[in-house]
Amino acid sequence: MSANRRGLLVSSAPFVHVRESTTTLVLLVLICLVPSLGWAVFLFGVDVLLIVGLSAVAAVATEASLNLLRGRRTLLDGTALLTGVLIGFSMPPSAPLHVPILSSVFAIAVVKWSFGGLGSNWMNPAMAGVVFSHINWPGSLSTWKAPRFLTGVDGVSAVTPLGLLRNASGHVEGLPMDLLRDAGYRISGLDKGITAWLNDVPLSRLGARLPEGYVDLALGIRPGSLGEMAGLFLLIGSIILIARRAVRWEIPAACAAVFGVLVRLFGTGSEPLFSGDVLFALFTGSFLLVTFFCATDPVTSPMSRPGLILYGSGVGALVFLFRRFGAGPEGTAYAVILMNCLVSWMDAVLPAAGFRGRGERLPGGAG
Amino acid sequence: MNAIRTFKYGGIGLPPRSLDVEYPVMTAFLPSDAVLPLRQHAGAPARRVVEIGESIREGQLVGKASGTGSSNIHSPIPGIVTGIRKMPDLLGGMVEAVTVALEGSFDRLGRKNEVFPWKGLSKHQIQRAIADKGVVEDDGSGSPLFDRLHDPKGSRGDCVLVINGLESDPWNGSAAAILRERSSAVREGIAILQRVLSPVRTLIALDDPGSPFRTEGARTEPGEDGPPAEVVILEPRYPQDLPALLAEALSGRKAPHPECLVVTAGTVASVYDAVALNRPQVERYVTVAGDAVKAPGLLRARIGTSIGELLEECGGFSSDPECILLNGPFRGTAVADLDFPILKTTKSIVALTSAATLRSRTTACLRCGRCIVACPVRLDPSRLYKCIVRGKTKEAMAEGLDACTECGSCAYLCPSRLPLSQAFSLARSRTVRAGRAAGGRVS
Repeated sequence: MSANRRGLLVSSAPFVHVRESTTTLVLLVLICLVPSLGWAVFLFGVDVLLIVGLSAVAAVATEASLNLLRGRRTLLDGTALLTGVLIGFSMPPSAPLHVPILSSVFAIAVVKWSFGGLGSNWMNPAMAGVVFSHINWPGSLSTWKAPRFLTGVDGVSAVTPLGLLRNASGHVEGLPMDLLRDAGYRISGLDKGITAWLNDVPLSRLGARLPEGYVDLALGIRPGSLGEMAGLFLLIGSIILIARRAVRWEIPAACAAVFGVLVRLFGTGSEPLFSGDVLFALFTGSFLLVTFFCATDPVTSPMSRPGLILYGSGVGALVFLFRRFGAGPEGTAYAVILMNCLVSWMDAVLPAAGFRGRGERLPGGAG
Repeated sequence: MNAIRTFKYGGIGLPPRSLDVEYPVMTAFLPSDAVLPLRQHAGAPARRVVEIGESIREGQLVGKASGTGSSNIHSPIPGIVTGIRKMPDLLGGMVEAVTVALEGSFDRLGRKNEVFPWKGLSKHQIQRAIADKGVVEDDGSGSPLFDRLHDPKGSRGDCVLVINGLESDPWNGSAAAILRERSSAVREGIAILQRVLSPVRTLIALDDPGSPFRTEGARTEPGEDGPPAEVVILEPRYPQDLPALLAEALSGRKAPHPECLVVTAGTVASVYDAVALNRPQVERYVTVAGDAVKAPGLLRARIGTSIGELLEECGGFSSDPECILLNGPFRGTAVADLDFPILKTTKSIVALTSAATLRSRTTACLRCGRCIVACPVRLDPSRLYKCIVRGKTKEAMAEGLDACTECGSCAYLCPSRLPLSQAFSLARSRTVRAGRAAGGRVS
C-alpha cells in the first residue's frame, strides 16, 4: 500500500451527506407532475406536449444563456426546467405557442435572475410568468378546449366551470353545481357512470349521496388549464412530496384549511351564507396545482413553522378573495406572488431558530 | 429505567449500518515501528524524556505531561528509539513524534494480569495512578481524566457520573465492543471512579441492544462509594454522545443539576487498566469501516500502529476511497497519509467512496429549513452561514455561533451541499485567533 495516496479528499467534517440534493428534490417534483401531464395528453391530445415542451425549453435556454452571461453553473439543478413545466401546466390546451415561451423567458430572465438566480428569486418565477401571461394575453388565455368524454360541447366556446359560474352568478342564488347545470354545463357519461356506482355501492351504506358532476371535476373532465386537470393525480403527487419531505406540509395544510373554511362560510359567489361548496371550490381552477406545487417552493416561502402557516393561510385567504370578489374567475398565481413578497417580513417577525442563549436578538429585529 | 430517551431538539436519525463485528475482537498485529506523536491529548505536547538510540521497555514513559490538559505518553512496545521528528498533527500544526522500532521482549504481553488490590488506595493515590498512566478521554477530545477528576478546592458538590456507552456515529462500533468484551473491567472502573468522586448517582447510557449491561444490569456492588449504577437506554440519535446533549437527554433538562461528569466507556476501561492492572493507556479498540474497505471490522490495536497497517488487516481497499477519516465522517479529520499512527483518541478509521459521501456541487440555499430543524442547539445555520459569507462574523456570533457544537448535522442534511459547519468552525477559529492577536478576550 502506498504511503501517500494522491487524490484523497482533505477538507473538513462532515464528509457524508444525505442522499437528497437540490437536483433530486427538483426531480421528485417533476416525477410527481408526470401523471398529470400524461392525463392531460390523454384528455386533450399530444398538442399539450408541445406547449409544455416549448415552455420548458424556453426556460432552460434562458437559464443557459444567463449562466453564460453571469458565469454560474446552475443549469443542472433542474429548477429552470421545473419553472418551465409549471408555466406550461398553467396554459389552456389551446394556448398560442408564443405565450408559454415568452412567459418562461420572463419568469427566468426577469424574476429568477434579476437578483442572482436560484435562491435569490423574490417571487415564485413560475407564478410570476403565469401572471405575466394573464396580463399580456387575456384573450388567448380564456378560450378553452373541451376534453375527451365531454361530448356535445363546441370546441372553441367551451367555458371553464369557474368562468361559467362567474357569468351565471350575480343574478341567481344556489349551489354551484345546480347553477352550472341550469347554465347548460355538460356532465360526461363517465361521471354519470362512476357517480351512480359510488352512490349504489360504497356511499349508500354511509347514507351519503354524491351529486353528479364532482367526478368530472376530480378527474379533470372539464375545460381548464392543461396541468390543473387531474385533481386526483395532483393529490397523489402531493402526498408523495409531503411524505418524502420535499415540501413542507404546513403550507398546503394551512392554505387548504383557510380556503375551505372561508368558502364554506361565504361561498364562491352564488351560495347562501354558511353553505359554500368546498369540494367544488377545491377541485376547480388551479387551486390544487398551485397549493401543492407552486406555493410550496421553499425559496419563496418562510422558514419557521409559524411563518409557513401564516404564509399558507395568506395564500388560501387571497385565493378565496380573488375568486369571490375578483374581476377574473381566478387569482391563484396573484395570491402566491403577493404572499412571496411578504416572506422576508415573516422571516424577520417569526424567526425559525429557537436559539436565545445570548439574548442579543431582539424580537422582530433581525437585521 | 426502560423508558427510551433522547435529547430534545434537532439531531438526525442516521440509518443504522450493520458493522458485522465478530466477537471476540481481533487483536491487531504489533507495529514494527510505533510512531508516537507527543500530543494525543487536549493540552500542550508532552515533554520528551527519551533520546534517540535509547532502548525502552513496553509501557515505559516516552513523553511527560506538561501542565493542565497535557498527559503522559508511554511506549506501546519494547524497542529502540530510532527517530525523533516533527510530523503534522490532526489540528493542522506540527508536533514532535518519537518512533520506536520493535525489539526485545514484552514485560506484560502474554503474561497473566496481576490485579492490584486498589480498594486499599486513597482517592489521591487513585488519581495519581490515573495521571501517571496517561489516561485521557478516548472520544476525540483527549482531555486528561485526571484534570476532570482533580478538584483542588474540594468545591465539586454533588455530581452525577455518566458513563457514555453510545456510539458516536453508525461507522463506529468501539463503545459497544468495550462494553461487551470488557464489561468486568468497565464495572470495576466504575467502582474506582465512584471511589474518587462519590457521585450521588451513576448512570450508564447505552444504545446497543445486545449489551451485557442491558441484560444483566450494571451490577456494581453497592458500597460506601455511592449507590449502584443505573442503566439508561437511549434512542440512537446523532449527536447524542456529545456530553451536553447526553446530560440533557438523561436529565430531561437543558442545564442539568447537579453537575454531570461524562466519561466514555473506553476511558473507564482504561481507568481499570491504570489503577488495578498498573498498565498505561497504550491500547484501544479501533473500528475500521466504510464502503471502500474490503472487510470492515473492529481491531484491538496498540497506539502508534499506522492506519495503513490496520486497513491492510481489514483486507485493504475494495475500491478507491474518496477520503479516509479518523473518528468518523461527522466530526472526524481527513488524512492523506496512511502512515499516520493510531492515537489514544482514534476511535475509528473510515474509508469512503464517493457513493457513500454523496458529495455534489454546491447550489444556492433553497431555504428548505432542514438545517434549522436539525440543529441540536437550535441555531439557524442558514442565517449564520449567510452572515459568515458576507464577512459579518460578529453578527453571526451574536446569533449564537459560539454555541455551535460542530456536530455537522446541518451540513449533512443540506440539499444544496452548503459547507455549513465547515464555515462555522473556520469562522470560530479565525475569531479566536483574531482575539488572541488583539491580546484580549474574544467578544
